[in-house]
Amino acid sequence: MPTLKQHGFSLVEALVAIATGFLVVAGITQIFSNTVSNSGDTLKLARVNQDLRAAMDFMIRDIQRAGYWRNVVATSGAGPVQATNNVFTQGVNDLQVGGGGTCLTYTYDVNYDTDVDNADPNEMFAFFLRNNSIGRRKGGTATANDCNPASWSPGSWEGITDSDQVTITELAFTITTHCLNVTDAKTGSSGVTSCRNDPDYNTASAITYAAPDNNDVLVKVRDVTITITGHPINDSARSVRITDTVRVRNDAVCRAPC
Amino acid sequence: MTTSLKFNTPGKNQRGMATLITAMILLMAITLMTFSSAKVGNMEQKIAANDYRAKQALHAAQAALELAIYDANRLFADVDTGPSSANNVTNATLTATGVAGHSNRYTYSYSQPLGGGNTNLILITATGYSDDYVANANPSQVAGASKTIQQYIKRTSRLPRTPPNPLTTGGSYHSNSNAIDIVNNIGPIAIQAQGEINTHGKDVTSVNGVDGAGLSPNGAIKITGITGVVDNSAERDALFQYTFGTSKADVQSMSTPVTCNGNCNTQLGNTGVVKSGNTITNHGTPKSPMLWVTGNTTLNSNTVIGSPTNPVTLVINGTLTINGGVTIYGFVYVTGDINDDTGVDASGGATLYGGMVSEKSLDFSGTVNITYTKYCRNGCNGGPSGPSLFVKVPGSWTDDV
Repeated sequence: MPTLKQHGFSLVEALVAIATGFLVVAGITQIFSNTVSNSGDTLKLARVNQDLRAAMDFMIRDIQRAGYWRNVVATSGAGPVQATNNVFTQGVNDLQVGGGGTCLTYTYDVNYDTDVDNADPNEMFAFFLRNNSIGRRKGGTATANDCNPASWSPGSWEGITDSDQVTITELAFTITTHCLNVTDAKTGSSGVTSCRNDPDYNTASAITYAAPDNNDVLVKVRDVTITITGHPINDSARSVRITDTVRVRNDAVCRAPC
Repeated sequence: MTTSLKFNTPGKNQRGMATLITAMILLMAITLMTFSSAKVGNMEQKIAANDYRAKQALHAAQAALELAIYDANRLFADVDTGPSSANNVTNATLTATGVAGHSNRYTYSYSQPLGGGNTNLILITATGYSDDYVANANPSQVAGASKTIQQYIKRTSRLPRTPPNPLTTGGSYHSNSNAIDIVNNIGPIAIQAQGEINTHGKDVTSVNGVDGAGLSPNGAIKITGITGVVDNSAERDALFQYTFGTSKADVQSMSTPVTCNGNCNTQLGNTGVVKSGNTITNHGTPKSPMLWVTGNTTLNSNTVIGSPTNPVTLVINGTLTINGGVTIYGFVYVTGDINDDTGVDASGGATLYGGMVSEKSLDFSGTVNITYTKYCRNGCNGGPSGPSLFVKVPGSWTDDV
């Protein structure tokens, strides 16, 4: 049986093969590392996006409850509406911005009684920026409009973003109030425009309206605009910023001055 | 022979086992990676979809709430009895019609916390559903999202700022008879007019009458609230807005339309002012609807409109001529003639218990008696017998149901 004579590679063949192999491997390595690094970045950004969006949704869902008071209507007798007596929209308990715009405080009725509790159940709520993460107040002895978690009792707040994953660099709240004087239509062209009763409010009216008299009933419709900016931890170059607006469902009703 | 031998011993000369195994391991690894990343993606998609559907349900619930308020105004606002009345709907369950594929997206119901028949305060419970909602889903199905919210609405006056005096006019007031009595037993002002006030030398009656701007009759005063002359449509609309708190178009859309080609005795008299749905029906008992009359209107022949317990709110979009013994209980708003200064022309036994606002001039002669009453004291301010409007009670919105 004849056997073929076997040959190895020649030197030139071997060199060409090795060089080609190196080129191919280098190219593949490059593509692979790019893919891995890109998908890592995408993943991190997606995570930041999702964390920010989740925090935003959480805040919006809760803020729209601000000012709810179960006893606003007495369901016995004649059932008078007591909107001006709603403690959840008065003074320090009312929705307000503190901490230089980085903190929002508000209250709403959890246990259906007439006062605003700060312990169990807590009815004083706040969202705030602390140590590059967003926190939520869930109790504590501080007053309703206190924006300084450091002064609260331990365990009275919790983070709603993960500081190991996401660095929050900005949390900004703005309240836009549309105020209506329902006692008296203020006419005239001088005075403060703090509480208007303007039939053509949305048009470019040149008329300004006088400040309300004492005890005029004012209705305040509030919108809260929230802006959050954050980036993956240790990667400040890739920053995500989202903005949303929520209409507070329960309008504040009060007697001037308020 | 040799060939068949080769076939019979297939493994002998074959190679590539290592390559095959390596390739399979690599393929398996890639498959696993693909599956795991697909799982992450799938999970994220589910989270996003859940979030989207939860929002969808909340928005649907909010839409249902607004619709429920609209329907409450349509169904219960002008009637004495509430949802328990035979004419009305006890629990309205509404499906959006005309939107393909979007039926059963929200429901709402009314309850009466003050007891059956009392519609001064209504609790609305509104539920919205996501587009993938399945009622009574079994465990293998995706149930979708639903959200329930509650809000109280309360009956309030459709006349938010009832004029404090019997007569208000954007034009002038002119009377030429001693048999004309304009009486305000409650407040200091009987007549407010933008233009000239001529009472035929006779004082109008009011409590602690005010001498307005040097005018001789006690209790008459020039309007100071509205600047300028009420002879352009913007000023007239402003007077309307001031009185009703909303635009003419809004009030018209809330009112029962009355068409009577000049003489309105039949349509407005007490035999004909009952609202049933959107049509006027003949009914024995006077009620208190909000009526919108289009065109110049004449009333005479001893017609009685409204009653002390069931005053009417009447908007005449045109001029009003009253003669021959007419009695009206309630509030009358007259837009007048847009081309000249004719508003109300009353003569020969016209009696009004309530108040009147006219954008144009008032011309009274013969016997006219206008006595100011708090025609809205019960009716407009939360009572069941006046033209009213449901508004949200601030502070009563909750999703903790």
